[in-house]
Amino acid sequence: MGRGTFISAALHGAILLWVLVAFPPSNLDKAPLVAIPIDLASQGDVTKIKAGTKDAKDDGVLAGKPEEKKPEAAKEAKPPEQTASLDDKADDKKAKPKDEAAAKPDTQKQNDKMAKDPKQAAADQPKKPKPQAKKRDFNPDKIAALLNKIPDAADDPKPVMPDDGTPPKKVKGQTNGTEITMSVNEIDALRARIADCWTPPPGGLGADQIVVKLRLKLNEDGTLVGYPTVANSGSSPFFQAAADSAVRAVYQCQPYELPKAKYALWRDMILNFDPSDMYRSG
Amino acid sequence: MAPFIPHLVRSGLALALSALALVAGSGQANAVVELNITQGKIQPLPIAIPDFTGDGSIDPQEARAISDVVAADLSSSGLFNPIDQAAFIEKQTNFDGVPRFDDWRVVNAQALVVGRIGASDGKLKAEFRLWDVLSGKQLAGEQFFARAKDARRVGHIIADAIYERITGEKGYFDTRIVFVDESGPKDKRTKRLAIMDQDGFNVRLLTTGQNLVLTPRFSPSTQDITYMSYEGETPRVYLLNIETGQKEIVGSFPGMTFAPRFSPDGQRIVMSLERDGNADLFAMDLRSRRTFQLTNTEAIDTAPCYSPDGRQIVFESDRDGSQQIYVMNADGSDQHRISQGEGSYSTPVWSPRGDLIAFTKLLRGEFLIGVMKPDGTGDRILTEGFHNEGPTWAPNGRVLMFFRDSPGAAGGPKLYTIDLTGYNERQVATPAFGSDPAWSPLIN
Repeated sequence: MGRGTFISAALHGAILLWVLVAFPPSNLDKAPLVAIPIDLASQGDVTKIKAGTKDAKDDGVLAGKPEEKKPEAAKEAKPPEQTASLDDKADDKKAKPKDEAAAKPDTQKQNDKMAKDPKQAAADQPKKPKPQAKKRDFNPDKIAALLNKIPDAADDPKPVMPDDGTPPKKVKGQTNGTEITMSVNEIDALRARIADCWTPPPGGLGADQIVVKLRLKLNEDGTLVGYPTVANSGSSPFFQAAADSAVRAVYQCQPYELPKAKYALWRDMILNFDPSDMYRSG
Repeated sequence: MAPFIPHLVRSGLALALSALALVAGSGQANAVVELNITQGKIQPLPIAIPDFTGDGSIDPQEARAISDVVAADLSSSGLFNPIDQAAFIEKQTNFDGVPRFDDWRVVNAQALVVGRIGASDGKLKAEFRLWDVLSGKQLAGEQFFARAKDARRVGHIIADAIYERITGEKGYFDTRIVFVDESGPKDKRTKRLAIMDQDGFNVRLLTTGQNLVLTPRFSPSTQDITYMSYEGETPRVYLLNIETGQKEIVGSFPGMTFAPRFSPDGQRIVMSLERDGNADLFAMDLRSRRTFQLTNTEAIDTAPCYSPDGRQIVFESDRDGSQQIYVMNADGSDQHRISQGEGSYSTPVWSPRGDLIAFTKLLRGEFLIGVMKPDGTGDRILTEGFHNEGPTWAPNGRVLMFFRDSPGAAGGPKLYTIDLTGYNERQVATPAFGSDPAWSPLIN
């Protein structure tokens, strides 16, 4: 027993020693723990939609706002930068900044530009653990902008809301607003109401692949502001028929009875009309 | 090994980072409420069709007759519900102006058709507009000329344009039906070949009734038909152009039970010929009159029909003991059974849009009409009853016509249509009894 304990202690000691030799602390220190500014998002931040305040700064893309051109360039520039820094070997650490600066002057410039953008900066400033490199200017809002930009159809020139003549309201429903949410019941009621107004076309060969993305703006009294816009496109006659049926549905359903206190949430909606389930069951 | 660990750590970090980025991104995208609407109501579209107006050069009655055709066509499809004119606030709408949509919204119309008919140089001039009442948008508008005697056709063409714009699918109203007109007592019927518009109007007889005629078949691409005629004991196959009335004999075929069907390009026909008690399938080139054998079995292979791309043929065969449906390539290779359900299956007909095969099914003493996919799945019955037979497809592949026989001395076959939902079944008016319908392609 005593002998066993001794052997065990000796072996453990040997392993510890080996670890110290094999992984010297200096080596570990060298690890380029690149500082990545992360905004920790709680579940609520993601799932709850927040209503804005009238004087809030606009901190992201919002319906009706003309799209910024920049993210187009950022889309190309950003990913290479991230992969490069993250995949770098520890030994390359010293050479890295130079290489990267040389390799991607454009990226650098682009990111600087983005960082200077006052709108973006507002959302960016807090909680940067170690603003080590300017180029690590990671910005979740930009990702959001990129995601928002993914077009629904290749040839669709981005759903910019038409200028319908209504004065822009000062409400900015964004991350810094007062937290309110649409309840599940409210969402279900709205969905049921629209479903009740919607008569999809009878379908046909290939029609079950069609989804119509409709964007609509509502007045506080629940009536439509201007025309709803079809935010995607399709070449088939079925698409046109389906899009018309969706527009008819939202016209027929108005005025929408929705909680006035949550107007900031429902004043701007996207409805995806997808009849595929109905065709399958029929 | 040493660099490996930090590398792993960083990879993990990268993953976590991208996950977070996605989360943050979706948070932003949700700034706008986004809902998926996956359910709607299947119901006919309420459409207002006020009487078409004359432009002064014709009797307003003629203009009204055309809007009546449009309303009847759309109503028969089961997809439109023409609103009773008694409810209209605005009885007639100025063709050149924008309709008062509020008045049409009050009567719950979702679409509005206005039309104007006139005469010019002995021809009929027709104009129509289709409006979306809710959005106030014009969806379609056309103007065309036609021969004065084609007034009903003008109505069918307008109905097709409206149908196509609202459903996204080609219409089928400007089409004709060839069928066998049956008159006289049940044991001594006179059977004549007849043609009419798809709505039962303009019936014309094509044969005199001296000889028994059976199973007319339309070419999918031309206004030609084939049919069988018994002169004595031997059935002859004729080719008839219904525009010119030109008729020719394709050949005499002892033991034939169905007339041949055309290939999609109208150049070939495919048929079943009986030899020594069993029947095999043959294709014939209509120009060279050369025949090619497609099947060679001990069984009875019959009722062949091409797929709309011309690459495959569906047929019935009793090679497995009972009548079932089989599919093969157009050259006879890869013959395989597709019907798997209870009962026996016969007279398969491939849909013009290619997605379904219609059939007659004998189950527990009843003849049913149903459809299945070309791989045999999705087998479903559309209509039941004592005796249903002979399905033929409308050119858009959404509606089937068939005949239904009724028992008793006074009973006889009548023509019916049914759509793919199985709900919208309608009888087609014929002067006497009618059987063996064949639906034409759209008339151009």
